[in-house]
Amino acid sequence: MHDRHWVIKIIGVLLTAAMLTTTGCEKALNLKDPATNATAVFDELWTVMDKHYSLFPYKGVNWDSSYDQFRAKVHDGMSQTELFNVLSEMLSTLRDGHVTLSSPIDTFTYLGFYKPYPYNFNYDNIVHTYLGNEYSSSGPIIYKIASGVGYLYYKSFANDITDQQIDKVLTDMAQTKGLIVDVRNNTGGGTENADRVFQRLITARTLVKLEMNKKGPGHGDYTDPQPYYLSPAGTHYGNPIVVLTNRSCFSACNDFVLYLSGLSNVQQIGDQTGGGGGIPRDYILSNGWKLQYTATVTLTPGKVPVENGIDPDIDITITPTDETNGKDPILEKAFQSLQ
Amino acid sequence: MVHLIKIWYAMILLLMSGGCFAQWKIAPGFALVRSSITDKDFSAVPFSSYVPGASLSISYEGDRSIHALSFNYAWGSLKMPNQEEYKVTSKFFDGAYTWLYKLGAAGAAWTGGAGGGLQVLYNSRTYPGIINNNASFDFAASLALAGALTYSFNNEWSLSDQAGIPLVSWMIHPPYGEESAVSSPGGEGNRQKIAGFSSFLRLKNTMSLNRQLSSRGTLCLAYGWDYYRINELREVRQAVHSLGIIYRLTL
Repeated sequence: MHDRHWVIKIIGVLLTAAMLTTTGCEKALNLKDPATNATAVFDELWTVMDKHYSLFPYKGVNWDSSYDQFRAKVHDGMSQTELFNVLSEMLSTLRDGHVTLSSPIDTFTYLGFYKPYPYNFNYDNIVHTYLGNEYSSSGPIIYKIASGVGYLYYKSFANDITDQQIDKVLTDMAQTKGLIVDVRNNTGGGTENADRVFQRLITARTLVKLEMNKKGPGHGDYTDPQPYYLSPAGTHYGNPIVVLTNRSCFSACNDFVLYLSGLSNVQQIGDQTGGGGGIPRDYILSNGWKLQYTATVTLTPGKVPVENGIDPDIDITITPTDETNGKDPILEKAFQSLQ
Repeated sequence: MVHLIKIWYAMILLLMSGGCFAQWKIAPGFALVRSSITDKDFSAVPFSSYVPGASLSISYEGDRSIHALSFNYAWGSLKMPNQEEYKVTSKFFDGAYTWLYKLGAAGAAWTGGAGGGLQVLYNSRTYPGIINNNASFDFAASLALAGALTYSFNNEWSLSDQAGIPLVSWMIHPPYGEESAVSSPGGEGNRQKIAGFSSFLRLKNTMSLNRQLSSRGTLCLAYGWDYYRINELREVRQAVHSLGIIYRLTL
């Protein structure tokens, strides 16, 4: 009995010591939840952007000045809505459609890459006036052949396309004298979908873009530009192509148009693309809000950044009158150029 | 050839035993593990949860020294508090070779050992809810100091503690700001360095209450903790607590 009491005492002392030690070590490692008050969240967001956002040298924004300007508007007694609005206002100065802030209150997304500009796209007009309400579809693509010219519309690269689906489209298009690839209002998505379509349009391994990653926290700390190649795959289409673009063609769509701009048989008609030359990443703030920011820099093979979009070969605008009358002069010009 | 292998094996055993006493032991175990990790590339908020763990150790005890190989593995889904949609799938592997010089007389109540060894840590994480930057890992191979202490109450019960701390480590980490999924130490562009305490700090300790069930079998209730902190461009901190059952068999 006496021995058992000693056993219990020793076990108790050692376990207590272990618990105290482990608790102390956890604190030393700072594994507790971080502060979620407004000033802490503001500082956290500003710091994450300062260290990881890749486009400061291309945006002409003094991020240190932004701290001074917007930090003055933040205090710990402010409401979540007020904090969200201040953070959104600060992020909007970057004019980057890849920078978003998601919260239970609202979601901030910069829309200035297309909102102030003519829309230059009306899906109903295309379907009714030009496709006659009849068309084929394969995965996310709708398509039709008229007077020997093929037309396809890929609404969003966020909708996956398989090898079989794109090959079916291009097999059906094989006898056309030209192909209109319409990517207006395609705000991007999976670059692998853009890659898959482009691989059908080349006959040799092709350098399509360069990508720089951040290699340190400084605004100009970049890796050397990394080449990105695509190789031919699937059913090839080699006849003249016209790609239709507007300002809403963003991110992966912008990349797709960049790839096409390097091909000699491709012409771009419409408005310039919306840009979005970089790959976004996420960060979860201490209060659970999700910050998305651009983490890389996309360059043409000639090392020109494409963040601000790609200009068309022929600039055409759809007027309100055109739209009211069901007309799409961008599509008509494309059709005309392939006759 | 078979004769040669047998001779080499016998020589190794003789060298390791340093004398007449020699015991092989194997100890498998299972544990409930509480794992908590902060990877500041994704969030300052820790991801935590209880996950299952398994362990295995093989040891050789001679007159003067103990050689031990140990492996621990914990896997599962960790969550962010109050944000159930954000999860990380974690796989944590820890292996070690430890050599201890025996201290204390055989049969004494207090015995122990001091020495060192090699520790290997590999912790991989994937974050399905976070776009693009959805994978990460930590890898460290370390030369470490190790110590052990055992108190035997009687022929049946004993309490033991073993701790280790790396002194210098070969550390591999993903590139800074890499946007594509990077989850392997062999991946291109990974950062490597020889790290001291300021870059890689790890503390590991296991306590166990042991009951001898038979001349060859011992049942152990083990409580362990394993903390590490990486202070690099990509800052990571992890705390693992485990409570498990181990059965140690003398071969």
